[in-house]
Amino acid sequence: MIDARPFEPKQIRRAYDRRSWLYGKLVAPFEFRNHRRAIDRAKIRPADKVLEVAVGPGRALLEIVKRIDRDNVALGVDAAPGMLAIARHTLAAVGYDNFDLREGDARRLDFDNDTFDVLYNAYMLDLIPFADMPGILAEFCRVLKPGGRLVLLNMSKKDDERVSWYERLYEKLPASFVLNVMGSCRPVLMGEFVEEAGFENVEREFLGGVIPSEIITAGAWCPD
Amino acid sequence: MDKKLLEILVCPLCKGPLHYDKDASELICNADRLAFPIRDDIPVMLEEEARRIGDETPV
Repeated sequence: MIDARPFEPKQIRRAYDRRSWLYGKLVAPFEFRNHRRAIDRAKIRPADKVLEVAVGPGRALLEIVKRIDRDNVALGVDAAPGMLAIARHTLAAVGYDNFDLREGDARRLDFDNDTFDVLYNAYMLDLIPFADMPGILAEFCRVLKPGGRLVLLNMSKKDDERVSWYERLYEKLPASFVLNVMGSCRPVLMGEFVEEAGFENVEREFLGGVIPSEIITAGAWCPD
Repeated sequence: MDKKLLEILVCPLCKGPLHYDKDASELICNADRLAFPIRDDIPVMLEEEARRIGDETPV
């Protein structure tokens, strides 16, 4: 597994903000089946309090609000205002209003401790440096209720035995190409990070396809 | 802003309570003296976008 290229969070935010429309049209359709599979694994119940971190163009959030009561509100965070505008349109266009969005940083969430039954986070940790992962996972654990479910979906690979051609390109291509075309994403295997953050019952499912991905599910029983 | 929602919101920095200023359309953390703007009905909970209270310039 290789580490992320050293982009500042602000650079990533700007890159995704500028390309939010293009991302929604070109990349999101390839991610959708994986989102559906991952959200199924979240086993969302109608009354569950659900948070999605990194909502992007909102296709996963739509699947989440379909699964909860109409008077229950799902919350969504993204760092890019352009993505949030598209997400709001995506959900409103099919008649859903039981969601609330905010511009925020996964490292510093604006929710109280023990708030959510389910936290869904897709295609975000695959652009985060290893050094930042423990802090983000601790923040996820903080806002989850004890026993709450964490579901992660990320670009991944079947196993970590060898460096793939994609990873070689990711490491060698110019920074601007990696940031703006590859979206700064590289394959990650999150299981050990999640276990080290104190989550329990960590399970992994690998999905092949256009964007090889992994689903990690885990229970939040984290130290205070 | 919905009361139930406001109950679960905290300052992203100090995790202390936030106060909703409807007129200014801001969420305020008195401890950090920061006002987080609400733009187009979306709260912007980023330190770099917040206004320091008593200062005209963004943080």
